[in-house]
Amino acid sequence: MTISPGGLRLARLLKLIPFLQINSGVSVTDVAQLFNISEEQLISDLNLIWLCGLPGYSHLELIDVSYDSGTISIQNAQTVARPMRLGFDDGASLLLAIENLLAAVPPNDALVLNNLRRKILDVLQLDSGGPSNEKLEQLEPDESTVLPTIMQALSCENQLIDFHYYSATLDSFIHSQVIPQRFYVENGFTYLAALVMPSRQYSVFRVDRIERVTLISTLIELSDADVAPLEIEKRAVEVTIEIAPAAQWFIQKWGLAQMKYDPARRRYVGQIQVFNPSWLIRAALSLGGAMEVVAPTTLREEVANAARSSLEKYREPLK
Amino acid sequence: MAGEKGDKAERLLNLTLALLSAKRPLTKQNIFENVAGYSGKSESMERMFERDKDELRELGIEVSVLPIDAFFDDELGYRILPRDYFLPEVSLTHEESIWLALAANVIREFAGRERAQNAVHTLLSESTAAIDEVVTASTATPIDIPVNEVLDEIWRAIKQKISLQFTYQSSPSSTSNPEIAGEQNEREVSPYLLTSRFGNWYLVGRDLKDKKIKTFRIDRLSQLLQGNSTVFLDADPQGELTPVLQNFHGERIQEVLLKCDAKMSIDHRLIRRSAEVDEKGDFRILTIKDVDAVEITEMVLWAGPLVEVLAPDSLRERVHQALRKTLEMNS
Repeated sequence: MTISPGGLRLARLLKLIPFLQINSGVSVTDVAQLFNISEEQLISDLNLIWLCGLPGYSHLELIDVSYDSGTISIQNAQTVARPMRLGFDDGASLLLAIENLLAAVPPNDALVLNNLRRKILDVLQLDSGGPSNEKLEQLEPDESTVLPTIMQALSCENQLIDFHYYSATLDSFIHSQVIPQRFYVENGFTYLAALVMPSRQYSVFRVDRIERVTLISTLIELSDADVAPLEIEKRAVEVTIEIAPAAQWFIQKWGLAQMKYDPARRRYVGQIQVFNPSWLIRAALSLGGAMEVVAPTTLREEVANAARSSLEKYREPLK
Repeated sequence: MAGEKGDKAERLLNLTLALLSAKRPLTKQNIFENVAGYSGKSESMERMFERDKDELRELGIEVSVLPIDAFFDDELGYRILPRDYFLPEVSLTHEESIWLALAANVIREFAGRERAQNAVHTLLSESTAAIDEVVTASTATPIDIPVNEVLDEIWRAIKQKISLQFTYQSSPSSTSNPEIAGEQNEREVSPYLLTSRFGNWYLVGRDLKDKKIKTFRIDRLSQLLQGNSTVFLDADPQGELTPVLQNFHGERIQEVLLKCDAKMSIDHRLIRRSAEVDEKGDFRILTIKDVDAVEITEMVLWAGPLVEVLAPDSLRERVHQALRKTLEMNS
């Protein structure tokens, strides 16, 4: 059965009425925007709601609606003070959006999205797929999510933000102030292009590594002439590596599309561009023997030296 | 009031409110006499009511048919039971509300946007965020984020208990034949749930060939179809799924003690992750609680010579072995 226009309108009304009761005083403009309808359609919906109520249909039973001076209030609608159940199709689509976002967003945002996912699964009475004893982690009270703040900054001109970013190469957090410019996707990862202040130089950051951001109220005036072009790192070294199949996840994590499986060697083999040897050394250590640096030999030796140096701490058993 | 001509949505809303507020089932006669919008001859009101009922059910509103008198079931009436109608209680934090408003709109190429927005409109009533922040979030410019539509198809199959058929490429490390970069084979699976680990999604389901419960990485699935088999084999959540999930999510270590060089930044992720940091002059002792064994091993090794594992012995040994293998491999 196809749902008639009247049925579709009913579905919207049953979402609007509880929303308007909880958000009394909200503006016509905001509600129309949130529910993706025109202000005329919303006024028409409000006029219809005003004609409805419980049998008897006196002023005691009719829903009371007012939208004087552009703000809406609804009273006498306790029968539908809360929304109806979430439809499976609608809920599943929202889950799909959340699940696709989870892989692309910074850790704080992922934590919030994961909690949201769990709550929607509960509402749909579906299993969360997490360990049965898993607790919902919460953000610290002084922490906020990253992407919504950056998007807010992008909606303003030259909005400066305080920016903390995890650099895997340095294995530490970088703190700077940047002006976000745009998001883009490359190799399946989402990046933020931003101007780093005060040098006004373009730089790119992987979105899932941005730790925290805060809007800064200082206004910056920029002209195109002020902006230094994106500097491409010229000192990249070509490194030949081999990776055991068990560490195939590492290839995916770092988007190393050049690594191809070699059946003869039973390993992934390829040449990658390394901008900072530190990254390669840390990567090789973290893979516990699943990565071999074949060339150049100087880098291979650096990896061996780093392993030797770490091993010093484990020579003697603990007392 | 009954008999007044009105908009269909108006009649449906009045009917919903009447059936939802009724403490006892309403007969058709009650409805025709009391609910605004029903008019005309008895047969036409009957037809109108039948269509309205069907439409409500189509919208997901369950109209129950119940005896008017608990002791006699010869006369039936209609009600919408609050337990069938209302969204279960769900409380959303400020940050969850903001992300709720963003989630349906932020992905540029997203086929399910309208349906996801419908879900958001329902859940917005449970939001605790200020409305102007929610509006700002919901109108943000979309960004390019890759979408895997397969997840949606799997969800539907899980909910509707339909077996799935797909081609699965196993990883080279798990294949029995190392000459091949991941064998491809056809699978038919009764799907139970989706779970994620380290940024990848996995389907947990029963392979209908050997009847075993397995996990399948979603990005290795292709040619996903509804299965040929009409059979859907259920799983026991406690007896079967819980052990599989515990095994899949890996070992957790309750307490880890690390000794780290004072040169390591106070902002380092291991220090941030620590429940306690004991300053000892030229080094620090970190205590980390309840951590994934794979994750902590990777973090310790990534930090290099600045960190030493003091406890537990199993982690110390794991790190020791990993370093020895790296040295052997690169000497």
